[in-house]
Amino acid sequence: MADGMSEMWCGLYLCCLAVAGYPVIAGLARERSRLESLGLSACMGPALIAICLIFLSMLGVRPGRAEILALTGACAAAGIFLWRRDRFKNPVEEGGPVFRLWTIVCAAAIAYGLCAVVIDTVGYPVIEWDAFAIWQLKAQVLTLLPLHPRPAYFSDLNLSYSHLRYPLLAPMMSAGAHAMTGRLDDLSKTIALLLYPGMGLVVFAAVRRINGTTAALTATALLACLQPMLRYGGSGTADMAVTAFYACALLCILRWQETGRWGYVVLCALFSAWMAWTKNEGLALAAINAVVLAGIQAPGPRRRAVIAAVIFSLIVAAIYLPWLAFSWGLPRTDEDYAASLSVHAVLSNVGRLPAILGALGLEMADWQNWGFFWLVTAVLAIVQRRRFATSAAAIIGTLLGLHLLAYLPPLMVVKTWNLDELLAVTTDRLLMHAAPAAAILIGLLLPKWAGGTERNPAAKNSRENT
Amino acid sequence: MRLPARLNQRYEQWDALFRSGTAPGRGVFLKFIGFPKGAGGFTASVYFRAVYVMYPRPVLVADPGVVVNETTRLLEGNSVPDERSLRDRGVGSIVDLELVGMQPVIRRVKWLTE
Repeated sequence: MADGMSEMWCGLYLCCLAVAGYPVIAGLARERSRLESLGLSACMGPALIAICLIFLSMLGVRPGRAEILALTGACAAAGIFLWRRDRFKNPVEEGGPVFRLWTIVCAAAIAYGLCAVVIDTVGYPVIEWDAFAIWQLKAQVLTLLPLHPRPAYFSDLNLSYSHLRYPLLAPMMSAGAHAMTGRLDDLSKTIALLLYPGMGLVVFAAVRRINGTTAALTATALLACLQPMLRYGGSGTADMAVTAFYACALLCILRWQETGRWGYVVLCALFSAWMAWTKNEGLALAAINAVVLAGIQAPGPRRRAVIAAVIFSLIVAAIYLPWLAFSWGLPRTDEDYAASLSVHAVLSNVGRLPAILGALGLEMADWQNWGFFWLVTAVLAIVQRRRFATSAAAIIGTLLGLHLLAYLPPLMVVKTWNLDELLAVTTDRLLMHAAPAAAILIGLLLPKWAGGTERNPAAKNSRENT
Repeated sequence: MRLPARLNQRYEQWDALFRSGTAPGRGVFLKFIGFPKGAGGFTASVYFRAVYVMYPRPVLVADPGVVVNETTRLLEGNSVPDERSLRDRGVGSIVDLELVGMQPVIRRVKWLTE
């Protein structure tokens, strides 16, 4: 493991990332709570620094301490200015009644999840198969070589297994840790120490605002100690990052629908762009977010929804474009789901659908991985179906449904893998990506007798605007 | 339920194995002997782990044109190229890896001189 100096540099790196996200959140998310600030900043910082390092790398500058500290310094200066401006403005939210015993149970569950991820992150080297075969290998490449001129790695067919065309945001977050510690060590996984709690805070904040503290604690506790979350959270794969960014995007969509403030559309676009830069699945999720934004009735004229979707799409496209340019012409030697997707391919493989649905259903019912999580989601959705009349539950329910549907076509057109083998190794991670949406839905649908408050700030705002 | 400590122990053994068959500052060519095609991702895992642990030193298992995505392709293309081309690619040794039980062990190391 690393020596004391490496750990000190790594700690400083995490501080830099935590600081870097704040000015973006403070500048764009008005009327936010402190919890929202904390959660969104913890997820924004790593992505912001990493994307800046990627763009610098594309200009021929490989990541280094000087670059990271300079970027952090600029962000910190902006952050101090915005903090001084906003320090007395952030609303203090009413969380509703709290059941003490249930709070203790939920806090214990969250603490258990946090401890498990922290231990996995700092106590174990990179041992997850996907982590060392793909993500942390890329991190090492990005640490040692700039993206311009393009390193030989990206055209090395012997390394096709590491998915030469996978996007680079998560590896660059880890490469930043390598750059700070000055060595290729296992501290590159520590990025999870921001993303995992950030995701938890964001889910808590999203639910608390609408359905009170008890519902928020319940949703966060259920999410925090899911087995796949603990398995992949601190393992060094990109799944934690894409899941955390997705949770942030969901919160921003809810806040846009509630407040009608454009800053949340921009933030949602940023988090969606980070998702696309993290995993190819993220691009599909970003497209779903755009579709849902176009259908949301936020305060103000109806056309604002369409404008929001257009602005969102333009921002995501602008941020994603450099990756398209960079990856143009790279060997398509690994399983390229996007290129295989066509109506003809999907229709001709429709026979695979029962096997895929069956595998997803079995995975959802897997007690060891998910406990009652998906069962609770389904039961609440049925029992509390009237709550889908409220916008927040309808939005999250739609997003979750579309998210799960979006994963079916790529699995139907897979070529190089045996379908059963592929399903066996991917379904837990695919469902992990969707878990924040399910957790928020559980929180929003929790009935009053179970601790929910069934407030609806969006409806209140809508009435006030009217 | 996975057992990280046990996984960790296995990879520590593998990592030490790869390092012991590699010349300082040079890469390695891995020749798999007796690794069955039907062993799932095991052979692939050995190769992928070696690439990660030895980076930036090259770990080769096939000619540059061979696409390695999974075990079958890896074993089909796993023939040792001529030594000159290996040296040109930064390789300093050829390691014959044999499968004993479920552990890879080094049967022979051929050091390539400059």
